Amino acid sequence: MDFSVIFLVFAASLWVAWRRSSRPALFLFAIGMVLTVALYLHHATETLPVSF
Amino acid sequence: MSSRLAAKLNALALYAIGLILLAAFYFQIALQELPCLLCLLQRVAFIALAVGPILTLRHGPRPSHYGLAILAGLLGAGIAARQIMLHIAPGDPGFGSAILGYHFYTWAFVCFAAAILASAVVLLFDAQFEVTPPAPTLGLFEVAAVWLVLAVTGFNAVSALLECGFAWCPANPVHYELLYWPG
Repeated sequence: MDFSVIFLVFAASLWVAWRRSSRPALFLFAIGMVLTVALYLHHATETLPVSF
Repeated sequence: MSSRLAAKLNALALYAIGLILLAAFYFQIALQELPCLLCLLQRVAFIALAVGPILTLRHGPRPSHYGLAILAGLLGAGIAARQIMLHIAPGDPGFGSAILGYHFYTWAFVCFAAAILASAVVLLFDAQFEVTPPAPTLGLFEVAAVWLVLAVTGFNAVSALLECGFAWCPANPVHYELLYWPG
């Protein structure tokens, strides 16, 4: 469900960019990016097998 | 660089994004490899990468459109780099099938890095931004590229819903939640 929502947000951004003005497309793009980063941080919990 | 050439290059970028996402669907459907969460996030980043080119096709070249592509490329490269790191230990077989010796997430990292580089190179041509050009006249080549990306985005939304159902996506999906009948 979470990924479907993000795909739909970006689909809306693409559609608005194609059919309407750029400002609403930028707004939807920003929402999509924030949701993607939030979802990444929510799921990226495994420890990496590396050391620096 | 003329507005017409910029439109052609951006349409080519959209075809590349569409073909990458179709290749991912080939692995998902033909080889029955369900995409993991990081794989889905990389697909999202590829779609985000398409917003800038579509804006350029519709409204003409502007630096902000390439800025969007760079932001999406950085996000996608970061996610792909994390997945590479998860499987970097010696002996780790990696996730999914390999294409030409590299896994999908490694190729994704290369593609995102190439997108960032291409955007930076196109930004060097100042002449295209000096006057606000009229929106370029689009042919079938450019329009088909946009519809390809829109269609693949729709497929991804449906596929993610089938895979994850109406709850949070499971960490290790092994079947399509909406197509699974236990017992």
